[in-house]
Amino acid sequence: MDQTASPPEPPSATPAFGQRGTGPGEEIDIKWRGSPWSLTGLSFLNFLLSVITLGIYSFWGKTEVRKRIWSSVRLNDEPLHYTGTGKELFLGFLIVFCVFLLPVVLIPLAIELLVEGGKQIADIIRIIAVIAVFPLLGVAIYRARRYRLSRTNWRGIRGTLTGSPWRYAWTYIWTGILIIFTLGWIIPYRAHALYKRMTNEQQFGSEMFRYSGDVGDVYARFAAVYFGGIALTALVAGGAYWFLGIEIPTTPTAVENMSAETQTKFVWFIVSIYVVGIIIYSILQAWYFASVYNYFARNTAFAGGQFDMKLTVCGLVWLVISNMFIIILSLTILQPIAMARASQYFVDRMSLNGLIDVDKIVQNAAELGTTGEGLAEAFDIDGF
Amino acid sequence: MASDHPTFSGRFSDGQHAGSDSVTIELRPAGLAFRRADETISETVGEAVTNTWFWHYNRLETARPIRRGDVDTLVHSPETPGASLFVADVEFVRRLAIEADQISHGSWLWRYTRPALVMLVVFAAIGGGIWALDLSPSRALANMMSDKMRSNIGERIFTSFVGTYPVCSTPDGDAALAKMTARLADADNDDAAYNTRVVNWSLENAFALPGRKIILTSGLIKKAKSAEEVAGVLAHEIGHVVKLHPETGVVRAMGLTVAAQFIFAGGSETLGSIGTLLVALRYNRKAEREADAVGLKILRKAKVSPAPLAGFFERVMKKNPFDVAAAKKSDKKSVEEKTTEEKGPASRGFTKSLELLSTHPPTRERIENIRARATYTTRPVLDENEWTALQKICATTETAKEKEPKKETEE
Repeated sequence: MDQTASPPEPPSATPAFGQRGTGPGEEIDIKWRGSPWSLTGLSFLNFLLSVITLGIYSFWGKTEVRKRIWSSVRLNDEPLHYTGTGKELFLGFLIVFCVFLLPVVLIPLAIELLVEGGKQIADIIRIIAVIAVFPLLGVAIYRARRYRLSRTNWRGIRGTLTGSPWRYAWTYIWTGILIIFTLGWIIPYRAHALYKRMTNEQQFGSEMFRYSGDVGDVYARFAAVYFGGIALTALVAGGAYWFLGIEIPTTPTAVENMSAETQTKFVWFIVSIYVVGIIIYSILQAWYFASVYNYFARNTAFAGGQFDMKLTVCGLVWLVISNMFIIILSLTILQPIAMARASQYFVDRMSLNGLIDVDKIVQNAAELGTTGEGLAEAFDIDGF
Repeated sequence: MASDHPTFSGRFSDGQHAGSDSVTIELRPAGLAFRRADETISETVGEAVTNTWFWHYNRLETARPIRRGDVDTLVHSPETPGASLFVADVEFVRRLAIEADQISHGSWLWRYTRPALVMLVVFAAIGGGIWALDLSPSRALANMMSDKMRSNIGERIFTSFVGTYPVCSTPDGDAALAKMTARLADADNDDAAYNTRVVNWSLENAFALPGRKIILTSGLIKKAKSAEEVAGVLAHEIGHVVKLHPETGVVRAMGLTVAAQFIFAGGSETLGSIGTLLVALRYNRKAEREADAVGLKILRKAKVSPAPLAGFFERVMKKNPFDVAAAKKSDKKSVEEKTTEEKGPASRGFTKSLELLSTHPPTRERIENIRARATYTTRPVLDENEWTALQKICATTETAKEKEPKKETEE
């Protein structure tokens, strides 16, 4: 046999890399590589292909965008690898479409057309369907996350979620219902509980993530925003009142008796309160979001290391506003670029401190599901 | 042994552990060979080589196609499932793109777009086939509906679409309408009866609903100058019924709604409603021509003169195109005001697709089509008294919105 003329055969046995044991570990450097604007060509191509295939191609388009975004996230310079396929997303959607969406649209329609007094029955069915969506929303969010994690590899090792989507959905529903009844005071608990459940059930390879934050700390931040917002709005209202110098009418007759000039001032007063209120509220919300997610990250550990996050109010506000412009001005065609910009922002401000013993992390044995995110697709839940 | 092949450094992960190892990679003629950086290749003839991986170029895969100027790449191969090789070297990437063409950007672009182009051709072929062969899947489905189903649907639509307008009825008016209907029905080769009603609605229009139901409006009867004009419109509506246009329209509207849900549940909503509307509107013109043809045949067989119908169309044509919803809203205005009113564009939504059940304003082409017909012997469809009775069929009926002062009944 002349081995030099032909290429060597693949090895008959997988070469061993020798002993894999615990070592001192290595620092993991998290970075974003590349420009989000490099997705411009792909965005337009995806739009075109979606149109000519009546939307069917959007699943493949979404998958390709994720592949690009994932490969821009670098851990020690090596990229994340997205292994999902358009076919999985499409099949997932088809299943939910045939089992849920289609019946919900067709059955009430048929009843309305064929049955006497059918409109009332049809409306009841539609209402029931809307109510049924709420628990399914929580399930959809959890399953979508699990799908994406299981399709995310780094050095061939993939992630997963080990818990039950229904337990997540239960927390999602009951805390959601209570928002109005508690005037919003359940919100910090909700954020904390959902983050804790999702994070503590999250795995990369054989290693679990661990969140050890305290709900009291989250409430402290929320209280600052809540009362601060009220105080600031009152301050602005008082200032506007003082500046405009008007009597606040307290009876309907007083309103009617206001002069035209006073009425105009009063309208300006209301409008300015509203506009300033929105601005204040947006900034406070950005502050709350940055503060809470920095807190969540700093209290999340993985394989001996501790995460850190440095979101800022200005950065977040700029990100949201600029992404809004990009999406609106491009009629949503350039949404992938907005997604990439958001990813870049978060990744650039994220770090994992400490020495991680990567050799200890082995592939997790969880089975891969064969379809992806059907519920999330049907309900239009998207992050990226 | 020194290697003759280009050699690079990289990191190899076996996919079983998160650790990775430094490797030395050679670009050989048929593929990549790599081994741990601190080992040398032993190429012994006759012995299996156990410390070198070999990945054929034509089986390599990447998550992200290689573009010119890329500084690194992550490659996999089904030859070693789960494993990956990361190389941060511009020269390596450049050479690899040449050797393994399938992971280059150009090759990826063709693979990515080809299925979409195939789908486009298939859709175009199906659409073109349906158009060229004049097939109508909606009509086929409409045919399968039972009479009871059609009648039920027609009643539901009547209630939701026209229900706010009271049905007009006087003994003499009903009799005149029934006589006119029967005269035309006898000429249509069909034994089943028609359900013709007049509603108190100042809109000048007529509708054919599923289940052989025809609605005439009081506005239409007021606008007509003779019974032959009304008969002409009625014959046209019978044409719609005979050709199953109302049932086909309902199937089509439902099908479009479902299709729009499917297509646009996963994607952007922007094109959905517009596309649905365009398809529905395009259908209308063909339906009008068919209904005209059948209507004129019926008039001829029933020995009713078609000329007054042409005259009626000419008077109606002077107005701008209708918007049924806008007309409904402006119901309080008089007929004269409405003739000059600017009608707005059709709004979107499922209920709007019901508009395809209404007749569209006549065109010059349709009028000339009527006039071009050869003349034949005719006899009046109603006598003077019957025509007067029909004109007064809504005299004792209240309007939908306000009570109008009751009109004096003339002898």
